[in-house]
Amino acid sequence: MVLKGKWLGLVLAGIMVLSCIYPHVLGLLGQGPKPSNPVQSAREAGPTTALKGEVGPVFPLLTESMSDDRLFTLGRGAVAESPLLAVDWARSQPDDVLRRRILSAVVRAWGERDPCTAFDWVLEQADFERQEDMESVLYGAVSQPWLALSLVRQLLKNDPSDPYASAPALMVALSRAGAFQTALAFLQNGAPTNCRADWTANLFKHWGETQPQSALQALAAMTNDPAFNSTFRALADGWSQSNPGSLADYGEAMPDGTERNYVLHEAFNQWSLQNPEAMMNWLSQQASGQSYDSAAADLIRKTDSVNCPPATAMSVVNQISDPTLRMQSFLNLLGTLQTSDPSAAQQYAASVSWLDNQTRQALIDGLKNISQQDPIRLK
Amino acid sequence: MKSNHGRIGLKSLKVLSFIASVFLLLHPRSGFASFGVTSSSGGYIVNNGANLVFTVDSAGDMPSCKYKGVELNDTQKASCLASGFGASSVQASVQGGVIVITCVSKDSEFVNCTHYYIVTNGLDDIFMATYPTVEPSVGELRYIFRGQYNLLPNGPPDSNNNGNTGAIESSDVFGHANGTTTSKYYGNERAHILTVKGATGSGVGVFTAFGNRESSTGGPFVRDIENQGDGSGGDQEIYNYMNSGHHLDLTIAGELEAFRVNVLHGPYAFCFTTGSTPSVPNMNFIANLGLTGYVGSSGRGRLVLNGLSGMNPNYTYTMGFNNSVAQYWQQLGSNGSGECYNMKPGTYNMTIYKNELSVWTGSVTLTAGQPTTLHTITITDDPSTTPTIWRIGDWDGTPLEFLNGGNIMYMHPSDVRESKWGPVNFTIGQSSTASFPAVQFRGTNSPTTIWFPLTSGEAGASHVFKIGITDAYNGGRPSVVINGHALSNPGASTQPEARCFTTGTYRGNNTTFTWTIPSSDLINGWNSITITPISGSSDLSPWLSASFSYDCVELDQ
Repeated sequence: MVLKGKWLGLVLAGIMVLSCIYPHVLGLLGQGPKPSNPVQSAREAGPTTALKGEVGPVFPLLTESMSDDRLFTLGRGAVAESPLLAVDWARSQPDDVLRRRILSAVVRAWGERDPCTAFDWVLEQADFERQEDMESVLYGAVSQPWLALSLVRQLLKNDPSDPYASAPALMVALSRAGAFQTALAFLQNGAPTNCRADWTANLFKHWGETQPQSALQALAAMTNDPAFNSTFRALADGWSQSNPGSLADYGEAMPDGTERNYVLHEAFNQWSLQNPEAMMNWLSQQASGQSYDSAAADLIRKTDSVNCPPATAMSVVNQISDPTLRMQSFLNLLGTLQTSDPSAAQQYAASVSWLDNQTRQALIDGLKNISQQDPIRLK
Repeated sequence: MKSNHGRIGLKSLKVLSFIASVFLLLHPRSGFASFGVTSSSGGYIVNNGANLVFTVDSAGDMPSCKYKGVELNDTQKASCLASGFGASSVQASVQGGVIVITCVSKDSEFVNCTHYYIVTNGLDDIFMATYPTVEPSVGELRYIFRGQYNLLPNGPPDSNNNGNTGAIESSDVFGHANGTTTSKYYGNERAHILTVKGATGSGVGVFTAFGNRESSTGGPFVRDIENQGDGSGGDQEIYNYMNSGHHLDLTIAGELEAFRVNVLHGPYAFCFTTGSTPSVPNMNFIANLGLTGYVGSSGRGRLVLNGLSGMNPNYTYTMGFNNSVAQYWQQLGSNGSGECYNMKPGTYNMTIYKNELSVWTGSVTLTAGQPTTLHTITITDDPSTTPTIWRIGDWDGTPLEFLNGGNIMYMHPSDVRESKWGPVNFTIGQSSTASFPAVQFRGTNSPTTIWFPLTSGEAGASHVFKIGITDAYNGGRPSVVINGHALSNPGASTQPEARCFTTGTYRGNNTTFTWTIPSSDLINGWNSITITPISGSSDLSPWLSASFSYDCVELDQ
């Protein structure tokens, strides 16, 4: 029998909850976290200190310059020795910021190692500290995403007002861990309804950035969702950050309409910044029209002679169909040329074929006027 | 029986007289002078009933401002909005203990702009508010108080150009014999922490209380001119910049920040003291004066944010709001909760900043007269959460942690107080973050070379390399070479056109450049990355060369 989707999730969640009672089950299933020799890592940290009056584990000395990754490694080592003593050690740090950082690392490490116990501990903490502890413990616990989900669902079932802000903490933790399917399952069943639109957009933005095809598949099942369009745009926003070229290809294949325009705009805006050379190659294979105009305008706006010779840029401008965009792009081209090769700028203004005489003269005069001004003041 | 109402006996008069004399002793600012306004040559002379007597002339400018009888204003040049208001009408009204001078401009630069001078009986503050219908053609909206330098010599040192040995950049950055530099651009605060600033002399101080910034431009982290010792020993200039072209092309939440017109700028104030720094004066009384564009508290709403999830305890967080009409901000508490008050109703872009880096954007609609409550916002876009092989600095929208980063706001990069800019060789695991340059200048400290070790496993896979910048000058962006292999040259980011790193700011549009480095470019062992600014624009000088300021550099896992 093959278990799919929701059923697989439920079974996994059941196993995970059981594992709270029988921690060794995780080990048997081979799904538990496998910290890489945390004790050794901790000891590699250099000088160590024991808690005053304690005979027991010796924890490393901390410095403010330690990275969050380093603190987490040390936190893992400390928790492996004793979670509660590790918390005491973290709380004993004299510097406020360092104390919060190492406490966060320790609680996260505890959440990773023993989510259920750590989660229960968080619920007993003082109000002022609980939200940060909740975020940290879930950040660690999402190494077993369905277990983290079941813990929060149970908490919300007992008190839907979520006084410990566990739901947003879970969303953040799942997104960071790339457990997007689990996060979506939570959004669709368990998350507070008044947060759904915001959190869904946030989720899909991150999902689109790291796994756009998987995000598209998930979104395809949400066509009846009232937030479908805004979610799709969030996905495109994220996608444009990581791979604007593939987003442009995707947008080109979309039917005409505002969503297609949005996708192409996002793609061109990022692509012209990140890799104009690749975009220029792509553009050279496109037919004239709205998409070409939009891409060409973005490209001209963000590039100069470093990315393509002025003559090439001029030929791109000449192929823009829309007169307004063509003129804007021409002015952009002249603007960058003016700072490096004013005579070339004058020459283009004098020779471009599609300018009427009045505009041409105004441009030539304007360029002359600019060259007489203080270049520092111009910048 | 006859009523005694309206009658005061001799004994009562003596008692009242005694009380009045005691009151005057306790409150020497009250009652020494005669509160009132008199017309003069098409303008007005205002006596605030305490220590101030000032003149608003027929042009709407302030050519005279006497404090305790001493003329503080430059005797040749008036204090004014922009470089002179050019009023067509100047009118005074007295409303109880408040005098309002209303100036309306017909100048082509300021068509129908209204500017107010306001005083209350007994308070040594000149309150102001400005309602522009168009942005002045000079591209900035500012009020300048032109104090006499010899009477107000103790201004902010970073903007005191007196004693200079000549301009070292354009006509607004000056060098001094000891190698230091000063400029009106230096030592200015970010908009979100503006309170009061000014200059003092013997027994006198003049300060700007920057007041309400809702109609200004550029968001919470822009800096603009606040003061200038003019360099000739003539004026101590004390400013309130409401907007300027220094921030043109800044975007917030993806939208260009435009100058806000047809809205009231302010209220703000110029405060006069015996030398002590005043607290921000209460300006609530202005609500009752019927100023054009003033929106009272009943016409405003407030926003309550319950909290943030995904915060980094190393940083402060701010929520910011902007639309075409107004901008607001509020620093958030340690759990991310906060309230923003007195917001005009409407739909706003909302941004959550981690220090100066946007880590969440959305929109929110506010209604007048009631609070809008937002649930806890989840921050999943903080780039600092990406696992890395190494990271130099951290993502917070500032270069402050880098070499000379903390100096950008206070001095020219050529200043003798700067540490040597480089070129820098930076070794991962050995070099300190503070040795990595805050700004990469093509003409001065390029290239920067980063040395880093990779294991065979790491070198056997492709990795994403990121450079985050906070601003760029002259189209500067990074060109990257890894182990001798050039990566693709990116396009130029959208940034304010004005100078930046030489004029006291790193605040542009945060932009991240990303490359995927193929495994074929990587080596098992020591690798090198060199970073050089590129631009198609010519450099104007070693410091005015294509450049950018770093926010963070990282190689992802």
